[in-house]
Amino acid sequence: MKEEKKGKGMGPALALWALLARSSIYKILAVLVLMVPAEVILFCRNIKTEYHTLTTTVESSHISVVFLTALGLVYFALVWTEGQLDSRSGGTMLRLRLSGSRIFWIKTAYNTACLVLLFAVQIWLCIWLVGVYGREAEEVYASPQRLFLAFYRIDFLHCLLPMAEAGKWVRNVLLLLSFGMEAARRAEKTEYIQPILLYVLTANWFVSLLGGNVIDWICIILYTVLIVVNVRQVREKEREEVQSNA
Amino acid sequence: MLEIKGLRKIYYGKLGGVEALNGADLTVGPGEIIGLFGENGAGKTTLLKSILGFQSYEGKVLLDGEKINRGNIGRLSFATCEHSFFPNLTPLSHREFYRMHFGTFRDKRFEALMDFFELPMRKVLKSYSTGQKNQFEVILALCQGADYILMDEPFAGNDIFNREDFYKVLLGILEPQETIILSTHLIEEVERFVGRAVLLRKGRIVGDVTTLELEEQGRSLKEYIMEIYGYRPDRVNKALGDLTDGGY
Repeated sequence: MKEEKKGKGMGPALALWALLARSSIYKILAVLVLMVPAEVILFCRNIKTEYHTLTTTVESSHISVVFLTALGLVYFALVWTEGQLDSRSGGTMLRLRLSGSRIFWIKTAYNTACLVLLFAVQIWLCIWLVGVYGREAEEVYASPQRLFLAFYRIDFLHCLLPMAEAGKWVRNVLLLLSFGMEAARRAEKTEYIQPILLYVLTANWFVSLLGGNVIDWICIILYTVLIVVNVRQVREKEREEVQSNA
Repeated sequence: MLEIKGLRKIYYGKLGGVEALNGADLTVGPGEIIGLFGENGAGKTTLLKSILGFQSYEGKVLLDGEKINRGNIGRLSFATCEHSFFPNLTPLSHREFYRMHFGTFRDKRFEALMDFFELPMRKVLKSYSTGQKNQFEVILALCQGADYILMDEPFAGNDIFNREDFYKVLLGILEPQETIILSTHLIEEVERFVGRAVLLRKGRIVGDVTTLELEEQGRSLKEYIMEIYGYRPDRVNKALGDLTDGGY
């Protein structure tokens, strides 16, 4: 009986998740399909140039620019898709049994999962590229600790996977959540300044120096404020909905 | 029973407020087929959207004595010419989605109507023609398993044969408890289909009559509406005459 009740509750949530996936997953996959070969080509072209260290190869190949562009594309694909979904099919969304706040959390979870997928692909790609470098580069630059050191020495790689630096982990988790929430609440907001500003600031500040620094803290504060504001607004709306139904 | 009491809606813009509904009262019983008529801007769409709770309003909308909320909104379905389906999904995916969200979804009816209108099941809806999209929108509203089916100009863009087919199919498939509120300008076309006509003008309900009453009075629905609106058929001739005399 309990299981039946639970299943009944999960069904609509899963159906909404599937709807979101059907609306945007091909766009996300297309971005990944473009990002991976672009980074591979840029990286491989730079392996055998004048300066062969892994750090210079990663920096001169500009894979961080490709990743941040992909981040923007994925984020705006989610913003656009969810905006379209609500503007075109908003009536249907309003007639679902799911409450507004539940819809918000499902959308946030989906958006965050898409962004996590992007990060995961990028980290996997970086590990693979470091392996390629090990095979292709001259022996003088080779090291058995190469992979481990790469994620400490190269700022971009360290920002992706901050190893033991807790501050950057917190920043990245908050980044994913705030981006996910902003896209989830797109339909209720009419202006595009906020998501653009959020993205521009993130793109500028994502690659920061090893160790806690002011920029990381500014990012943490910015993302936290966005998350708190969004959650408060959703709760307020839910309260209004409950009051109007009373 | 759907009860609308003193419904009032004002749209606020830069130039002040525009009253779209001004104290509309209406009671709709189960099994009725109601035609909602009125000029453009009379408040038809606003009335339907207020019933569904898509916008804020003053007054009361009660479904069997209860406010409409997430718990009972599934008893209402909506078909609109603006379309409310998900354009990136196929009809098959819609069926799955609706099954999950509306336990009352009518599978058999869905398949029969899709077959009847020869709509492809595995094609995403954004690639449907406008007429097909309208058909699908109405099919979804009819198959949700709702007790009250609200339709706002659902056939805008469909040809006359298609619309006739729809009226016949609707009359054939509706169950006794299913209620339809159809907002339309096609007065003569729906005259044989609706059982009651509600007229809106400037946000007020100015006429409410059953087609049986009209039959007894020996009047057509069009005549009734023209009378209520004070429409003068000679006004076009007069205007043309004035224009011609004016040297045109």
